[in-house]
Amino acid sequence: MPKVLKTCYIISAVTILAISASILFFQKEFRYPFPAVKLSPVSEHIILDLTSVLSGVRRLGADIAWVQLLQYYGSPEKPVDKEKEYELSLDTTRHILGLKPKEESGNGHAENHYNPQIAGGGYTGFLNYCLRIVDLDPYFSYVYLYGSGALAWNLNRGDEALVLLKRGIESMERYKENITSDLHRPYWRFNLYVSAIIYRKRGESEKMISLLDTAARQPEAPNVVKVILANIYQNAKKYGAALELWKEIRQSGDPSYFAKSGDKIKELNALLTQRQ
Amino acid sequence: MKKLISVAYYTFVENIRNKIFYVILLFGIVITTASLLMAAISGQQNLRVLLDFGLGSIEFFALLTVGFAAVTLILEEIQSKTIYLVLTRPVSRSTYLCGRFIGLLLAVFCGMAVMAMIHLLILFLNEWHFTLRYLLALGLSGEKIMVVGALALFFSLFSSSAVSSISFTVFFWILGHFSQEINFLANRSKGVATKVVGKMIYYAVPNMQYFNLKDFWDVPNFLGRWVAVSFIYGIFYTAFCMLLCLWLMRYKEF
Repeated sequence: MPKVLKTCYIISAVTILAISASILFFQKEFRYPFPAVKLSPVSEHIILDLTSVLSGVRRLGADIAWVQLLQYYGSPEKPVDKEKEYELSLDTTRHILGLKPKEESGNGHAENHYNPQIAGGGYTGFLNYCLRIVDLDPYFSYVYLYGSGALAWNLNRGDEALVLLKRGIESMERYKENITSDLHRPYWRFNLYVSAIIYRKRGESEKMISLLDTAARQPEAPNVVKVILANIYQNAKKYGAALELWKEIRQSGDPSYFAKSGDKIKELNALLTQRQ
Repeated sequence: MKKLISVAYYTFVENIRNKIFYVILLFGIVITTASLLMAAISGQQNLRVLLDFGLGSIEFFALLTVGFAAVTLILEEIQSKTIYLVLTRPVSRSTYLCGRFIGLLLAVFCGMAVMAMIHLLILFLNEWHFTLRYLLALGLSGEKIMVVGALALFFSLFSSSAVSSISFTVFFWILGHFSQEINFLANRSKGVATKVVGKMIYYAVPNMQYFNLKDFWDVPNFLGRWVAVSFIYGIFYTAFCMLLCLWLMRYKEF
């Protein structure tokens, strides 16, 4: 046998051994952190979601789904007339391009989250949109908090909010042996939200407000929860506390709440001045 | 060694002049535009979206570059007969093949590095805090690209058709990302034949999830020893593909 061929055989054997040893090691050490693929609960996005899984960009797929959730929740459910639709799209475009001062853009689609008209129902697919995101990336903890906050307090569907939070708790519990300080934060926050929703269902407002206040003070608290709490404080005539929350929301720089927070700060300052 | 470096160098220069520059330019435009849009429409998650979008784009553009360049790496030289100019000199087929592959990888890695710098710049402008995990995720993406490049080269020598080689490479890319599910299905399957075929695919196809740290970013306590082994696995898998390429090249008639 020629020497070169012999060397090739030896190298081949070494590479196969190394690959086999690596696979054995992975079987022991590597635990794939995502559940098995299932069909998206939002039927029109099944292909997009499967593509993101098959091409190894689950997180990016979850991000796209997140933006689609915001678009879904930010667009009016009831059809609007052509003139109004034109005005809304023009305002949104201006806002994105920075052509119009943000304070003036009060009618953008994104701000429809906080429109009191939508509170109390609508957006029936909201839970499915949230579940779609967490199917792709169960560790996208912000979605559980944002989704449950919007479902429980904006859309008055506490049971659906609990379904979403339960999924979050299960996702984190699946890897309980890996619990670290990183994991504890979303884990206990989910339980905090569950308790607040249960207090709301029981009509124990004081306890609910106390828990919501704790939730809103966390560094990654969704603005939707802060808005809910600020509105509760304003209705209870606690203008100082409401003003603090709106200032925090404005400081976060979230474009969808920027104009609204400006208006609210002015309004609450006026109310505080009147009271004095 | 000198011959290997010479072949690698001219392949590197050839690729930089031909493809990489345009890919980087395209990436720069895409990521800059996307960052402005994403910041406006993703609420409080703009940094996460920006990070994922950038890492995903770097990998995608690198995959495009390495896929098309590796498939045509030897085929074009054979079709244009320029391969004779090299192989009629005292340069062995193995030196030529390895030199071409190393040169291509260097060019693609340079492209990835430039794209990563643009991405990091945009992230820092958005007040992102640097973490070592970024470099690890980028490095493992590079490993993925290296394995795919070696597979594309193998298929191009095996099939002698650019279209079928690209199709096989894309198919393996998808299978590689799906291998955890294939293993899951094989374990669940009651039929022996399905189980055997499933397990064969699982072990033979490179498991791309071992290089997919960018997808496991928020998974708690997930960084472990397996990251180091992923690098070793990628290198040896590439080496094995290159051995198969050398074997095919040895019997190739031009």
